[in-house]
Amino acid sequence: MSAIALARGPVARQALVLVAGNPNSGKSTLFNALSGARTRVANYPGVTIDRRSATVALPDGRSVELTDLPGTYSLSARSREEQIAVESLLGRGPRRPDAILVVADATSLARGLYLTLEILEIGRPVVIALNMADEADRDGIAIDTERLEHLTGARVVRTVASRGTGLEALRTALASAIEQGTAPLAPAVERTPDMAADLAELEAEILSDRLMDRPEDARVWAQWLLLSLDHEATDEFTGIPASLRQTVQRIHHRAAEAGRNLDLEIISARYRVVDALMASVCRAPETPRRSWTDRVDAVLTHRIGGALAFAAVMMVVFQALFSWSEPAIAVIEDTMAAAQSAVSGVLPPGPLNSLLVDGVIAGVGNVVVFVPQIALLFLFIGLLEDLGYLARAAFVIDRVMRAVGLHGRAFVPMLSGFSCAVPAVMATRTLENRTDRLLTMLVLPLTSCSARLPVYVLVTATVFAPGSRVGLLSAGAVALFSMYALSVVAALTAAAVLRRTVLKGPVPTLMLELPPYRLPVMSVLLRGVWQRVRTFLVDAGTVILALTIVLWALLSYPKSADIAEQAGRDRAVVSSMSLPGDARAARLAEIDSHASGAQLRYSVAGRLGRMMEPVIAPLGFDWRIGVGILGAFAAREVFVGTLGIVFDISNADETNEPLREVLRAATWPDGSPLMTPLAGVSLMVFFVLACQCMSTVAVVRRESGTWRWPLFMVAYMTVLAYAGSLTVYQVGRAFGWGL
Amino acid sequence: MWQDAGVTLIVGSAVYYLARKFFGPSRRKRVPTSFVPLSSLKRRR
Repeated sequence: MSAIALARGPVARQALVLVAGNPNSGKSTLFNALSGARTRVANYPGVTIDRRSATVALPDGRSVELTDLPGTYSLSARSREEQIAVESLLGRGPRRPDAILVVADATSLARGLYLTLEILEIGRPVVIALNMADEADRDGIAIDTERLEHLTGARVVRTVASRGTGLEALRTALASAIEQGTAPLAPAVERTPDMAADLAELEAEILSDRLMDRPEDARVWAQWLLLSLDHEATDEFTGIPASLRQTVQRIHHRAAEAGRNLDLEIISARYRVVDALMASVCRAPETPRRSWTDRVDAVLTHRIGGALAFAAVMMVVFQALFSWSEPAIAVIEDTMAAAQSAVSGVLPPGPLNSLLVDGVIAGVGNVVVFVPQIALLFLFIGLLEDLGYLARAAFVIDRVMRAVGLHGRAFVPMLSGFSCAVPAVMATRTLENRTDRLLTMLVLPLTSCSARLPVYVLVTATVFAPGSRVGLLSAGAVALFSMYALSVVAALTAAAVLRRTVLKGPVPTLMLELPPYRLPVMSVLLRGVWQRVRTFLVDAGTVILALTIVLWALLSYPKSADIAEQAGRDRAVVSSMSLPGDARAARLAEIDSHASGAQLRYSVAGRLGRMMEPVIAPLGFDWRIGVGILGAFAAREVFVGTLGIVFDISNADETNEPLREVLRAATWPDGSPLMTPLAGVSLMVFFVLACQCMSTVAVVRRESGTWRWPLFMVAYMTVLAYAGSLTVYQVGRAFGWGL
Repeated sequence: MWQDAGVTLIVGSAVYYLARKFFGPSRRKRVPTSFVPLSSLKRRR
């Protein structure tokens, strides 16, 4: 029978199989192996957690919907993601699962059996995939699968998902489980009389309120509620009726008064069953030999060795993000430039030409140019995670991160923020807790991304004369390094403040599993990268493109007919003069750039810049810098090009000599120089601290699921940038520095 | 004139898209769900 078969019967209902399992059990690999390329990725409603489902054909001709649940160690864990897993398994809604596939790591069977036991209690057909069976064999772990089947009533199949071993047997087991539909024999968990009474009270309320239909479901959910609900109701679970929360609180208070620990009672009762099962079915070496994983960990988690290894790995990642993506970025930029030339050549000059070239194509370019860095970043994250190194790195860096209230796993997004904040914000998905994710997202944009570099280069080259030094170092280099140092300090300080104010919460205790080192499965890795890239292009990319078009309109309209007529007259004059070709072309270009600058001043953005001037003058900026800052909201690199237009320079980039000269010569109306070293430092400080990237705002909006947080981020960073620049400029002026 | 019309169409579409995206009614994709979260259930009477 081929892997793709039709469902049996004309109206055969497609069975639903949920895939559950611990993180690092190879669940994703097994899911991908079963589903092949037929995976659909969606989000669980209301949360940004990927839900993957696929249609899989079974040997009996039936096709099933296989849905992957978030990895969880138990059904009673503490996050919204794991609430989704619980609710899915309990089958609330139009359908309950026809079978549940539990993926257990054969090398850590006890941990997998805890979750399995909870799932067996639900009373739906269960198939257990003992994954990584090859590693268990290698480690001398012998599991009696027949006995395990007998004791649990679930079908047990040995698999090696990375090699595709056991998949046919697994499909057969699933088909059989669905066909027979018999509930497994959940081993009886002994409860104390008090515990049994507490559970009975909760179950009765659940059933009488018709929140669950079956006693088995009510029991599972009652235990989950007792273990998971926060007593102060600060957990992130939704949809729990208030009356039920109150009952849980009452039970907890009663237990506390009697000196009972409910968590301990429930969990240890289950582990007694797990231990009995393990003793019955599993034989492992008495003293497991020290694996090479342990030997490597002795170095990689060492206080000094680990830190050095971490620094080396991060340097490679950082360097790769900066330089390995450059060829692809160059290709994209060249393609965009070619497209712009093609359109310019086809369409006659005019507003549509300008919109398509400078708005649409530039907007598409602004989106697509992120793709190489996003792809590389997620490739590295996936590689490091699948290899097992990410957990070690989080352990090593946790001490530093904890001091400011950041989770140890936040370091990868923070580091990649130095390349670009957009993929870095997306990378915060590796943090399980929503508060940790939000905190990291909100401070990420403070890390100096590569888009700020053209601004730094332009400003330092403009305001610091070549050869000017601070000690042994050039003034420009000192300024540049200072900006990067400022960004790190600002990010860590902001995290510390936000953690103690708007994102209050306990400093996260890092508790993680150090999985054995394993070779990643490239197909799984690459598929994950592609899914991330596609999500970015569809969700954030469309917003970035639309905003670029709107910004183009603000910079282009309204147009002054007088300016256009004057430019026309000037061109006519130059054309009538007998000048050499080059000189004529240069004069005409000068007229065009002058007209562009004048039109820009006439536009909405230009007028906004003039309106802004009283506000930004205390920072050392005039309206022309203000227009540049407005333009930079689309993308920071746009600042340089916008300044070129405002100062009437065509094709300005950060290395363009005339722009630096024009900036050096620019003055305030009273004749005092505009771009002094102090004003330059003030401008750089503003760029370090301000949130000037609508791409970042768009992706934070997407990842946080609300407008509140990206707006808050823009607000606090704007205030910070303004205050920082103001302080630098005014203090500098008071002391007569850099004027 | 046709260029102005083209510009109006494109810019207008971008503004409309952004307005719908950020201020419009939330539209959930109709993904075939086999389960729904508890939070979106109504109690049966």
